[in-house]
Amino acid sequence: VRVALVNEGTYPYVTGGVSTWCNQLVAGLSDVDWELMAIVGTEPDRPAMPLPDNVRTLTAVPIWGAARPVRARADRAAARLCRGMLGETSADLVVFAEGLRGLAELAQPWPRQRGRHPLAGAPLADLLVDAWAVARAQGVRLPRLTLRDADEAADLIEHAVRPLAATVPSGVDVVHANANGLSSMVALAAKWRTGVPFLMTEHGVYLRERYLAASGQSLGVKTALLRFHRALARLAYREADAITPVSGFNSRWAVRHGADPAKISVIGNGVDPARFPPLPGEPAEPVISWVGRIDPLKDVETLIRALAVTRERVPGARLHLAGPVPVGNEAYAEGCRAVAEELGLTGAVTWAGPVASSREAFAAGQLAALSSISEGMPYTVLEAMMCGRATVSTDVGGVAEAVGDAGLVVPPRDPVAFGQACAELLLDASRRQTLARRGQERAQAEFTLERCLSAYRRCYSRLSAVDLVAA
Amino acid sequence: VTDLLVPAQRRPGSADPVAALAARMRDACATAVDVDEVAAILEASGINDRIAAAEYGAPTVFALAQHVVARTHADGPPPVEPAVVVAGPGARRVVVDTLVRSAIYLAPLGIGAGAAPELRGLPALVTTGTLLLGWGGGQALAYLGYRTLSEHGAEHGQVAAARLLGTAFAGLTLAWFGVLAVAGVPGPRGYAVAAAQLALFAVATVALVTNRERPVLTWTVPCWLAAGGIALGLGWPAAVGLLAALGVLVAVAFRPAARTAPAPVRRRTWQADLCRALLFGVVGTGQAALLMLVVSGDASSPRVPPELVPLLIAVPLIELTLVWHQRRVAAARAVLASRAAFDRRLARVTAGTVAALAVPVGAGAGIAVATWFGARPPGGQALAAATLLTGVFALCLVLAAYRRAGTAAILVWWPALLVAGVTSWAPALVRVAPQFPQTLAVATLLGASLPGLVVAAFVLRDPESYR
Repeated sequence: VRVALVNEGTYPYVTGGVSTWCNQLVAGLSDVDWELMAIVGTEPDRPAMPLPDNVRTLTAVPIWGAARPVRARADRAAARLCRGMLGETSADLVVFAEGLRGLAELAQPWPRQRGRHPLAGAPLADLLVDAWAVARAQGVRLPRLTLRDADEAADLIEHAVRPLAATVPSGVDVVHANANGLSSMVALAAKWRTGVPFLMTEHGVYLRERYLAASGQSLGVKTALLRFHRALARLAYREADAITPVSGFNSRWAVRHGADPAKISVIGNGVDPARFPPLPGEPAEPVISWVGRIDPLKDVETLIRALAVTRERVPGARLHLAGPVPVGNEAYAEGCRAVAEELGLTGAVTWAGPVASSREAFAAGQLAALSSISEGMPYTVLEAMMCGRATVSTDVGGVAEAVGDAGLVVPPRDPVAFGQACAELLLDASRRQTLARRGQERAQAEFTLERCLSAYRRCYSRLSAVDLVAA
Repeated sequence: VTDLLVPAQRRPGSADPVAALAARMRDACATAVDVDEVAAILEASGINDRIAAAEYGAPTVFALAQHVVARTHADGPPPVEPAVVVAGPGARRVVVDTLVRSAIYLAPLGIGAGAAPELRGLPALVTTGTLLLGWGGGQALAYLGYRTLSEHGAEHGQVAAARLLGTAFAGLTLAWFGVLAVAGVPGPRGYAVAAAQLALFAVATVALVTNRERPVLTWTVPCWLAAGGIALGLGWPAAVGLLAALGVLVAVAFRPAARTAPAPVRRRTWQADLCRALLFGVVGTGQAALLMLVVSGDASSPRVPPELVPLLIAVPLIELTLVWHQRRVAAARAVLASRAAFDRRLARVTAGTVAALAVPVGAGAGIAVATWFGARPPGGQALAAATLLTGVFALCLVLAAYRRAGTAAILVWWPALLVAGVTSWAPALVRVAPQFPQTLAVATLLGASLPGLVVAAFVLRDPESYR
């Protein structure tokens, strides 16, 4: 089976997170021939990791850089795109689909040529202003769009549709878009051109992330972009032949935006038990270990506040934080340190920095904590469970699904609840060990890498009509 | 540290948690595109379906978001989103910046004119040839520099652009030395003059591209002083001083190139950019050629040509006019939401700009007509030609700025070719009537500037020009 795996801004040019998942999938399914397609900002230099031998090609799809305008006029398709994306109804989505499909046809590469950027040179700002006026006149609630807003939005949308120019290698059996949005646009274009099946995996929720990333723009620009992304997401949910979110939590957004529930099958992340064997024992001190990047989404501040609550009942409790401070998060990290100092916890919090393996960090604690306010299906919880560490986590994303009854789950941003849960486990060794054992059993039963790979193997077999499982 | 939305809602005593949540989310609701954006914010704040049900009585986060939005609207109109104001420089700053930029444009010409006595006796290939090469090469490389700047982003763009320009100008200088050697230019003086001229164009180009006009302009002062010394007859000490000051100026201008190396951006092709750069080079060379034909005829002329005065005065004014036009158009696009309204505003702004562009054309024509009818205005036809040349340069700038470099090339090259061709191929005419070249220059410049003005008006009036 040949699978085109499409990523945006991740594998194989970035490490960690989704790239880890991709690397496991590509290396793990050695019986699949992979055609990697990576949507990037500008032409990248070289992959950030070695590619397995079963990778046949790697195609970078830059969305910035010099434009290659189409040779025919794209005005009509662009006008339909604008009109369709602003509306709310199914009929509007059909108009949007017609517009995007028209652009995909224009962008289609000729033999031995590269595809072209369908909206480069098109009067998109004018078309957007016209469509905006019509939509408002028809009662669609839209804010005011100035001409400058339209210029800015048109520029961003022009770049956003450039992946339509990407060519999926011929002979591919399945196009696997590793997110909604631009990755799915490549899969959509391939499906329209050659009928190749389209599988979508969502680790986070692309549309929700667009909503959260849209601040800092004027309301007009923000609305135009989010309308575009919403229409694109809805179209991709509708057209995908199968959707495999990493958690049931994420599938709520897919269903809300038109995905057929029958097409959705949750495939949770998998951890290799050989890399995370059970830890031989636990330290004598009451230490809570945490692994991740120091980031507001991980809510380290609440974790530190929770430690203060824990220490009311377990005076010797300590916190072991393992993970890097990403560029741009220095102020947040400083703020967290200030909170620790303010609470008199400076000596009780260890800032261990990056670690080679999360297992190393889990070994430093009696239990593992996850205090995030937003997650998909976090590897750290699965890895902690696989290592045999009891977990205390926040109820976000797919965490509750992952933990089940094998750990404590508390509301996010609630230091009291988190701190009390930690204290309970630190004080009750028996319960801690029971949960650790249960978590390990659950991880080995539900979240092994092999189980995840088998699920995708079945998925590819079904979509490509090639019996990969038997092979 | 972070904006804690949720715990505040869990404060005991909140009788209506949805109302409390709506109150706290009032600003977010005001700028939310739809209910899903509010739902996304709630989820990012840690509220999931279970919390929505347990603490707010809503079956899902989406339902809770709907309640919050409805409550926000029920409690009165949401706060109006403040208009986005793009902080830009004030008018005074813009004027000063424009004047500084103009001074940088004029530095190669002005310093070169001051040092003209040192060029005496050198072959035209060294003087005029280098001027044409430097002007055209500067325009072409400036285009490539701006492209590099935009591709590398703000952080590394300066470094990459400065390195590109440094390498390209160094290569250009070496290649030109080869040409001079093949042409048999003797002695080091000719090469020093050629290198100095190209260095001045390189400095102006890199200063403009890397947006470092002010520090570079400051370091041009010693060059101006040395050139003034040469013009006043101080001889070789001033010439040596000029070369030394120029060396320092080059070092200052290209300082960004010495910063930490950026990661190289691999490009698939330079073909399109090179073609475009070549076109800008053709425009620049045409401008230089026209200047040489109209103003002095030879860069080695042992005097500072007074015909340069209109150009020196007009360049800053032209720049200011264009900046004024761009700011007015940008302001209109920032506030207007209707294409028809913008069209009307654009018509008014364009009328003002075209009126300003018509001033040198009208003034030049007026002087020429007055001279033709026997009046003796100071400067006569030469002044008329120089004034008209200023008008042509202004139109050229407009056309190049609004993506009509091809038209700009035609605008400058056809008068240059006509004047050069007629005076070269019909020397008898020049012998019979020594004023003929100037009269021809006035006629051709007038013939170029009048249709050029019409084309520029159409370009400025075309909304497509501002896409």
